[in-house]
Formats: sequence, structure tokens, C-alpha cells
Amino acid sequence: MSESLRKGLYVLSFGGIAALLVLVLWRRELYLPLSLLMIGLVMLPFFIRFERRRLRAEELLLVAMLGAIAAVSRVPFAALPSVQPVSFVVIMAALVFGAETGFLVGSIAAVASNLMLGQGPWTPWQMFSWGMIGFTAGLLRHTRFMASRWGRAAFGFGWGFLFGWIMNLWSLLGFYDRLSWPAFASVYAASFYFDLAHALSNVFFLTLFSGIWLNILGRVKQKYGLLENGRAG
Amino acid sequence: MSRGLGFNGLHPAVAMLYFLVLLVSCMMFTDPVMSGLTLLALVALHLSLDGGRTMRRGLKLYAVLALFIFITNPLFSSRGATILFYFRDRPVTQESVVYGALFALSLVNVLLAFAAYSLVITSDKFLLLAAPIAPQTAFAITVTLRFIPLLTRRLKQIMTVQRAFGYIYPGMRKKLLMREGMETMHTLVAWSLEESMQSAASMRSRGYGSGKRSSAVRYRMEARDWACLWLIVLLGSQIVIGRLYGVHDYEVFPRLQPLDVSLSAWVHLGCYAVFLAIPPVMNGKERLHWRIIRSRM
Repeated sequence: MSESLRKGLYVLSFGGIAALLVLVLWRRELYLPLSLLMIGLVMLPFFIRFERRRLRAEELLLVAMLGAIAAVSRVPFAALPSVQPVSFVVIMAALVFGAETGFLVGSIAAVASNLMLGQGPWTPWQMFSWGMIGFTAGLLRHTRFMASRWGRAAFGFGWGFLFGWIMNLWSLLGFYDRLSWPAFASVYAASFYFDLAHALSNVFFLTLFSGIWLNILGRVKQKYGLLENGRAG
Repeated sequence: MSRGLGFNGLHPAVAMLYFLVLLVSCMMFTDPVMSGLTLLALVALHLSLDGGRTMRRGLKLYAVLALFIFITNPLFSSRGATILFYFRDRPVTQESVVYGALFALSLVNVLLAFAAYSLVITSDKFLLLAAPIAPQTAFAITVTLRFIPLLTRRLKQIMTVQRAFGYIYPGMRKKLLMREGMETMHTLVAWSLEESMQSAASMRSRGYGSGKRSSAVRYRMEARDWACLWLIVLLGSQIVIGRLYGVHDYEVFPRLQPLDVSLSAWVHLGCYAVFLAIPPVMNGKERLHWRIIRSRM
């Protein structure tokens, strides 16, 4: 895709988001449809870029397999309701294969796991949140911060809360009639325990198992020459 | 290929459009008559689709969400002119109670509509629709969906072995369980990741990427699909345009509004009712048809 076209697309997408934000202030009762539209627009550039890449069969299957692994990773932990390693798997995929792949793995995992658990208006929000976990992890993958075990743990801890905070935005719509600070605070306080559990399990998995996962995934990447630098960001 | 009859057998694009209009209407209407009608129609739709099984499974979630909104809304919002009583020095108004109820109703409608959507637009239909727009993404999701049952089966096998060796046992400590769970995942990844590379090689050797992909399922627009499409476009535009021009624009604040009984409101309501009746009528007709054929056999 030509550079100007791509820039135009990004500008259009951001312009659309800004317009939607203004529209929400004007017509509050449209919060739900507009927020869904907004999340869709935010994710659009990622999917367009994915479509524009000529991928080998191996690379396509790798993305699909990683998404499936992330989606089923809840199964061994079914006995522990607040523990799920989906975010951990997405972070690992992003650290090895890059930001764009990380985004796709996260969002595909969200779609796929919701196909089992039931789709709802929350699906796009989850796609966005997990996608963003992957994207940011991929962006930071060559920094010294993510190379250290403590850095990764801090990253997982932060995203454990951030994920919950983004998802709270969708549950906030129950209050859009008069969104006040007490209502806002009560929603965020109610989710604190769940966010903490998410953050702590991220830290647990990242400190103990990130080394092994980086090895396993890195080995496959090297052996099959997948998504090498220059081909994918 | 043979298509299912009734609403399920409709061309996916037409069904998708139907749900788009339905979802927009669910989110748009705050009028009690319109929302109540939507709820009735959605219940009928669920009953005609799978006898209400999916609906019953989600019932608890819907009830909790609706109750939560119904109770919390008046506590956080004191808009409205008619004060019912005071709760911790904050006035609880009749309007905000009604508002909470209406909003809970419309949220339940949205969730029911989503559930009906996933019953009708199954993943194969969705991918059929997505493939021309985003072939690579649609293909990746197809493959993911194929992998999920496979991986779930493998996970169960691995966990059976772990149990047999005594690595997993009932009443084990949480931390230990998390470690063992990760062991399960390592085995799964080592098993599946490289195997998917082999599948990819096999795919390429059979001609993946040599041309445009065709779809396994084919749908052609039949006379019935065209008829439905026109009906949906006609009624849908009536519904949306009417709403944008302020028909059935139910205002709760500052004081409850009387219901809209103008002529245009009745026309609007009629259009919406016909629109809502499309799938239950299609499914009901199928059932009647089937009974008549069977009674003649």
C-alpha cells in the first residue's frame, strides 16, 4: 500500500473516532452503538495491514494456532475461576513474533473464546484489550525493560489492571444516564479484586514460565524462518 | 447444497442485515411500548430457533444485569421531578426508577438479540460473509476455529496422563495446580505448534495460495431472499428514519411523558411489528408446512 494512502487511512480512522466522541457527548443515548463503532474503527488499521501482508501458509497457520492456544489455555485452569493465562500467551507470542502478530493473536483469541462462551457486545472490547496487550508487548520487545524478568512481570501486572479498566468502560454504559464520579468509582472499585487476580496471575506466569515459552516459540521461529524481521514489525 | 428452511435458511447477507437493523433498534428505542414489543419478539424468535435453550442458559446473567441496573440507577441519579422517597439524603425519583427499568429492558434486548444472532449467523456463515472483504483474516479465524476442538481434546488427553501419574489430584494447592496447568500447556504447545507447521507444508503442496479461495458453502439469492431483503430495507429505513425524526422519542426527564399516540407513531409501531414478526413467522410457517406434509403422508 502506498505511504500516502496508509497515512490517509490512519487519519480517517482517528478522525472518525474523534467525530464519534463528539457525537456521544451530543446524544448520550447512543453510547452503546457508537462505542461499538469506535472500537471497530480503532481496530480497522490492524486488520487492513494484516490483509495487505502476503503471508506464507506457515505464518498464517502460526497466527491461527497461537490464537487457538491462547483461547483454550483456560481449560487446564478451569478449577481456578480467577486465573487465566490468555494474556500471558498473548504476551509471549508478541515478544517472539512482533507487535502486529501480537495484536492479531490477542484479538483472534478473544473472538474464538467468545464463540465458545457466547458472543455479546463485550466481544469487540475484549478483542481490543487483548490485541493491545499483544501490540504493546511487541513494541517493547527489543527494549532492556522487557528483556528482564522483572520488567516483564511489571508489564503483566500493569496490563492486568489496564485490561479490567478498559473492559469497565463497557459496563459503565449502565450509568450513562448520569455518569458521575461516585458511579465511576464504584464500578472500578467493584472490579478491583478481579483485576488484582488477573494482574497477579500474569506476574506468576511471567516470572516462572516466560523463559521456557520464549525458548519454545523462538525455536519454532528459527527452525521455520517465520515472520522474520523485515517481513513483519 | 440443501439449505435449511425457515429463517435459518435465509441468505447470510440478508440475515446479517436483519440483525444489524434489529440491534440498532434495540439500542435506539427507549419507548416502553417499543422495548416491550422487542422483548416479546425476541423471546418468540428464541423459542422458534431452538426452543429457548440458549435463552434459558443466559437467563441468570440477564436477570443479574437487569436487576443491577434497575437498583443502582435511581441511587446514582436524582434527575426527575417526582420524588418518591429519600435514600441517605438523596432523593429517589419516580423518573429515574422508570428510566432504570427501561434501560435494563433495552440492555436485556440487546443481549438477547446478540444471542439470537449467534444462533442464526453461525461461524461458517460469518466467514462466508467476511471472506470477500478480508480473506486472510477470515481464513485465520476459520483455522483457529478448527484448532480449538482439536486442542481441547489434546488438553484432556494430556491431563488424563497427568492424573494417572499423580501430578494432578483433587484438593491440591493452588500454586501447585497453576504450575501443573502450565506443564499441560507446555506439552500442548510443543505437540501442536510444530504439527501446524507440517499442516502448512501439506496445505501448500496441495495448492494453497495458488489462486482465489472458494467457499465450501454456497448461497444463491433466491426469490425468497430478495423478498426478505426488500422487506427489511423498506421497513428498516422506515424504523430508523422515523426514530431520527423524533417518532417514539420517549423522554423520561424531567417528568414522565405520555405515550405517543399520533398517527405517525402508529404507522411506525406497525412497521416495527411487521419487521419483528419476520423470523418467527418464517419459522412458524415452516413448522405448519411440515405438519401438513406429514399429515398427508
